[in-house]
Amino acid sequence: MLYVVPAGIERFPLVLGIVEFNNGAKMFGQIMTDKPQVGMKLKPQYGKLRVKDGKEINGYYFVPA
Amino acid sequence: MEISSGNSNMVLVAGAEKMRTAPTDVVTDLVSMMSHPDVEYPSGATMPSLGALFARLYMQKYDVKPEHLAMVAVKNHSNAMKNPFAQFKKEVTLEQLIGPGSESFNPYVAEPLRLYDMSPITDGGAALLLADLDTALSYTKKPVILEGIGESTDALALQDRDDPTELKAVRLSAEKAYRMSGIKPKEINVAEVHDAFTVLEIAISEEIGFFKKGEGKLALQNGITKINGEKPINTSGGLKARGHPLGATGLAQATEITWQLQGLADQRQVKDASIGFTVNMGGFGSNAVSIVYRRY
Repeated sequence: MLYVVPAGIERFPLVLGIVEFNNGAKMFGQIMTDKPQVGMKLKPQYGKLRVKDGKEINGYYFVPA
Repeated sequence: MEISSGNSNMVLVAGAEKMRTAPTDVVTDLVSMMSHPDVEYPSGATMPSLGALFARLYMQKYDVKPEHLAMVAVKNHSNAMKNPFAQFKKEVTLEQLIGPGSESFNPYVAEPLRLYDMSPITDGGAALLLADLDTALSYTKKPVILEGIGESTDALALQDRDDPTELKAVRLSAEKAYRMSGIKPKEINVAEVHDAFTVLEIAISEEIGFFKKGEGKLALQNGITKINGEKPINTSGGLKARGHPLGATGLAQATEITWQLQGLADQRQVKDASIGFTVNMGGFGSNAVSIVYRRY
């Protein structure tokens, strides 16, 4: 749970974590929840992550399954 | 290499950083560019957020409590009070950092890390004059010998590390430096380590072989890492309180150990210090350099 966010991030507080997929692969990303729990079930989505130099940066993030 | 090859007999090494002229969110963003450019930075990863992920897992694995993190801050702020070159001249107490109502004095930056678990944004510089021994002895009776140096790397992204609670680059670089110097961790009298976050001082003290895994917190709470303890760590105040001007931090560590081994550390002098050690890391532990020093 990040309370001091870098320039270009609009979400506050920002929840970040490492998510493990069923095949064991791991991926770092934003998690769209106010109550993160270790072990919670998530699923990936694609969309806007941040703004850099006036341009939107898109990528994967995670929402509760 | 320049000196040992015989090409030069004296080399000035200097580092500096000016970070306090930009707003905090801009500095945070610039420093965050050390994270993985494809998998961490786009999501808003900052060094404190990576430190928080590390801390959460490390604290859970080794039963490290918030008070242990606060003890690092209290110790290093106290050391910085004795260092005329430190950024912070401010004692802090456990009560202020984790006591009732401490949230306003010491707010969370990235849970479980609070403001006083972070190194500050710093302007600073440091320099060292390196020379071959004959040249050094023509200038001083108290040169410090670089006995061993080691460098190592790890995966850049935390997600790609086998065990994200390990600081493999730190461990391997220290092992290389010990091997080159022939000096063992138990022989080190004083050390400066990369406490950009308080949890790192505890974890690094284990990775460099000072204490067994999970016992760094015990050494800390028993006063072993204080200036007058058996294994003083970050007598300068560390990154935490001396400050962390990125491009100067490694040299500032080397400068502190040089002063300690020359007996020039005044109020923070470690008694009879003859062998010192530094470890500095870049990124969030993706690369590290360790050095072993000996008094001539």
